[in-house]
Amino acid sequence: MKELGLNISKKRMKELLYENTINILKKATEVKAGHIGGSLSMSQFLLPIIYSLEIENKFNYRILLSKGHASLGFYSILNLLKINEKPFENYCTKKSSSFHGHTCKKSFNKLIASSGSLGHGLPIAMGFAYTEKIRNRNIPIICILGDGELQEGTLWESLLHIFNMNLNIKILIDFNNSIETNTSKIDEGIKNLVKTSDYSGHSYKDIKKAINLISSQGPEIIIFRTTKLANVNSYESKPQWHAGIPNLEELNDMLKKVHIRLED
Amino acid sequence: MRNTLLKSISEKINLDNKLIVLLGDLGVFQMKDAMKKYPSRVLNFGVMEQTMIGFSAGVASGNYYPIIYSITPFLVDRAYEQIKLDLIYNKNNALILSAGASYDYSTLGPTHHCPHDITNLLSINHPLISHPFTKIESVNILNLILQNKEQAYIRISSSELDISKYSNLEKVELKSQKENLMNLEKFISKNSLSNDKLVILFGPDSILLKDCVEHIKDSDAVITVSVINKTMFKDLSEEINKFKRVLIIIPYEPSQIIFKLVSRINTFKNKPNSILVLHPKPDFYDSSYEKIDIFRKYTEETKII
Repeated sequence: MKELGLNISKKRMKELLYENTINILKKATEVKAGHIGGSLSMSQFLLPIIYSLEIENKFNYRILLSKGHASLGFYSILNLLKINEKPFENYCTKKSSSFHGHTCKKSFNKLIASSGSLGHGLPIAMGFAYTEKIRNRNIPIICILGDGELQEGTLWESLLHIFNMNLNIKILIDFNNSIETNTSKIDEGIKNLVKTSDYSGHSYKDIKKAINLISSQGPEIIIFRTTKLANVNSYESKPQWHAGIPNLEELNDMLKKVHIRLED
Repeated sequence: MRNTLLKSISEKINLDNKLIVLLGDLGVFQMKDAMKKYPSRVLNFGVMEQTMIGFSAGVASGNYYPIIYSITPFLVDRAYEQIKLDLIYNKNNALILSAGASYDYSTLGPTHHCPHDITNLLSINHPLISHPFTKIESVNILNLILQNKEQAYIRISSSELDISKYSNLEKVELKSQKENLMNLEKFISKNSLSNDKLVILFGPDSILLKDCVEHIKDSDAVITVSVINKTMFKDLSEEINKFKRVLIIIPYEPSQIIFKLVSRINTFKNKPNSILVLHPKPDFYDSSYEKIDIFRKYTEETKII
């Protein structure tokens, strides 16, 4: 399979991340809806990945946002990269063609399921990957999970099959510490069970390594260490911004405090 | 009936390479030859029903048709949200084959009883639910479902009921049967002179409810319902409208069926004088009951009109 890279400069990627952050904050305030905390943490690594797959490499893959509440972030990326502007434009509007607050399959032709209820994505991704395997095509399936979702039993059930069946699934975990108390040390639990890659969502080098893993064959689990409401200084990592909507005053303050952290 | 269906599925696997069978650690012995011949299309997925339904949704979105087989409460209760969202909401068609209708596993206690599967599936708009009366009918329904690869649920019962064996009844053809053969079958009494009493049976367990046999013998007509879908509610309510007294026998939790029928019947100008529903009393039967004892002892009557 073609090895993937990411050639866009870090400076330009920071500009895209900045624009994406501003768009997400403004849209949520405008429509009074959206999970901005997880949308921003996920965008930190997903925007460069989608840029590589769609813009630079025209790569054949499928994707499933198991953390469907981050749909605003996903639609914002599709909009910014001009892949499909409609879901973002019609996000939580009152039009009949509107898109609700969780990911809809109709938003993107590579999305294999509508999602929203946590714990549903990985089994579906696994079933799809299985059909790819028996067809000998093995198109990679990217499945994005949040750290809170890791507590769902279906993740652990799915892991029993994914590695035995050697399915071509790339599990990207947006580990933004959204669970207020990670008492179960769930990241350690996964690491003890299966091979994982533990990356920083704010490291350009790590994101490039992850992109490279997407083009490898077989299952991969990539933990991205991110921050809730990433890149909005003094608002980051605060639980109220999981599903909280800023008022105009807060929005203006947030916009002033956007500072993209993307290290080498 | 379950062995017949599994045998039939094993044969279909040979002919249709789009079928993928997922076993919830049940039916493995019956499917062993098919598993050996088609290891990638007949899988013992194990005891993880929620993940198995989710997996089947992915299989369907990969353009295969999954057939899922396990025990009723573990599929329909435990994996209810996966059936609702992964299959129905996401429009991923699958055939769920469940063993253990209502109280088939009666002696195993409430953990293995599932008299509410059909009501629960109807409440989330499951489009095609079937409870075949006989082995032959089960294979006919299976064939039709596999031909169209629809969203479907077959509830396999340990009971069988061949109503054509009642010597006082003769089968008549319904208008709708020409279009949809599987929904309803109508039998009229050879002794009947009027359209007075209609008895409607929902699946083979109906015969186990108290006084069901006497009601059949005493009726002017009997309708058997094998498939529950939109067409069935339309056709059946039109038949109900032709009789003065109607007795509906539903050997499971009946609320959704009653609700959907009543909403149609209420639009009629001339309704029957009485509509009575016989059904099992909903409860947790926490002793080692025989199936027939639960139905006989705990039959309830609900008067609609």
